Amino acid sequence: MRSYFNIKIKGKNLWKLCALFALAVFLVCCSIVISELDQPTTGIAGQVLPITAHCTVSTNIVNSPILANYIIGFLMPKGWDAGANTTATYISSLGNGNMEQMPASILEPESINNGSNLSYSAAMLKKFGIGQNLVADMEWVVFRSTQQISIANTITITGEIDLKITAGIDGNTTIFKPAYVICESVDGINHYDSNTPDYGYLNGPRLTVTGPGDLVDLCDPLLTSLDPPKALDNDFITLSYNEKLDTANKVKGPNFYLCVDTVLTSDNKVLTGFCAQSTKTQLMQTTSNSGLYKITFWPRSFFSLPAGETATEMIYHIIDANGNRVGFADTDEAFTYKFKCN
Amino acid sequence: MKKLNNFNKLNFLLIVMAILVWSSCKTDKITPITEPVKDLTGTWRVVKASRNGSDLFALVDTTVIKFNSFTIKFSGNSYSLNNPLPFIVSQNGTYALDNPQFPFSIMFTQTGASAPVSTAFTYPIVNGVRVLTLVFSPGCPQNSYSYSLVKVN
Repeated sequence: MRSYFNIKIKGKNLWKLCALFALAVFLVCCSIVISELDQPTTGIAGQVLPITAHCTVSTNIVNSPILANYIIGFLMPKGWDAGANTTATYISSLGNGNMEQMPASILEPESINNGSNLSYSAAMLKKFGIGQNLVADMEWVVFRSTQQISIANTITITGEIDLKITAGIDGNTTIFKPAYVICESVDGINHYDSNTPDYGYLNGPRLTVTGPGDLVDLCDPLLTSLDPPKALDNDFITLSYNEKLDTANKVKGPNFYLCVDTVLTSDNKVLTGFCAQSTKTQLMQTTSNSGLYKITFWPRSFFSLPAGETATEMIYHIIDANGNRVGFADTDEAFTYKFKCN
Repeated sequence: MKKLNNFNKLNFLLIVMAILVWSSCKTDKITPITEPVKDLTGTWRVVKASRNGSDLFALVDTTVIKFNSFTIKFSGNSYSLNNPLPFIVSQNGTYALDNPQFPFSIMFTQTGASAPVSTAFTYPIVNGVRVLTLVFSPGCPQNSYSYSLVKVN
């Protein structure tokens, strides 16, 4: 095909060479594997939870050495504020050191390439979601080495990252499944090709941290769940009921209703009279035969709260058309939801 | 001699043409376009609502939670709410734009409130219609709502 452009560039070959060199600089490939994880499965709220991720890194860098930070991301409940309550250190065959929380202003390289320009935390949430958990009240907490490390080609780095997380500062009993990502700052969570990620990912075992507060179960299918998981009475709240988890067959569909037995207020009032079978209280099935029913309501309106009065807690059941009730853990015991943000 | 006359005629014609071309040019005066003041006066209703990115219209029973009935009326520097829903404010009051021509935020001050609450202000024309989009958190700060409103005819 004839070219319509006959542009003469002085030193064309030199420019080509420079472009090739510039590309080569960024052709980095590391195989990172989290080979072993030391993570407890139980803990006490307010106490330190020690976690160690052992990893092996095999490098394949076209233009080595590179300077990069070691990075670890770990999936935690938002209520723990783990970024402010974690200390992290690393031991590696290229040296030891401390780690610091990744500044939110640092953009993750893959997201720069695709134009989304996300922080590491947001990029990990987008790529790995909430791991094996079901409730989205979780965040990726990211730490990086305080020093950059010079990494050569075709070497194997072994090491470990040690986390000391002060667990459950919200005081709640929390059940969830942590997850871990290890990468370096040149590639971030890129893929070298479709089968070769430049990071290591591992789901951790289920972790239960016991505290004096509420029970927050982020990873088990629940008979009822609320979205957003943390809300006030002036939010819209979506309550879901999973009929398939009522193995005791305490209620019978297809018509289910939200029966709020009691509402507690900030001025210590106990409000009642919100248990009814009506269009206002009826849950609707999401899709035919899904067994998942939902209702979205505005608590201030639902409970007819006057200005200045605030609901702090609601105690409720799910009832069917005949008035049969189901509650917490498929028993008669009522569900409790507290209106709070932390 | 005849050649000289022809030469003079040609020169004369060229000069006349040059004068005509020159005189036909005039400098256009460019009048700067003044950005109009963003006038919110009127009654607005919600045509789109989301909570944390999820479409609320798809989630709520609109016969119970009546987005169609919720309106906000701007008049002078006052606003009034009708059939309230979770919103940046819950009482009537006054409002102001940070810049009437190029606003980036709108401030609402409820009657009796000591301080205004403000939110980002976007006012694009979508399909030929002005759309007022407000983002706010009426409950927990981590729960973000977006309402898009159009004027009621």
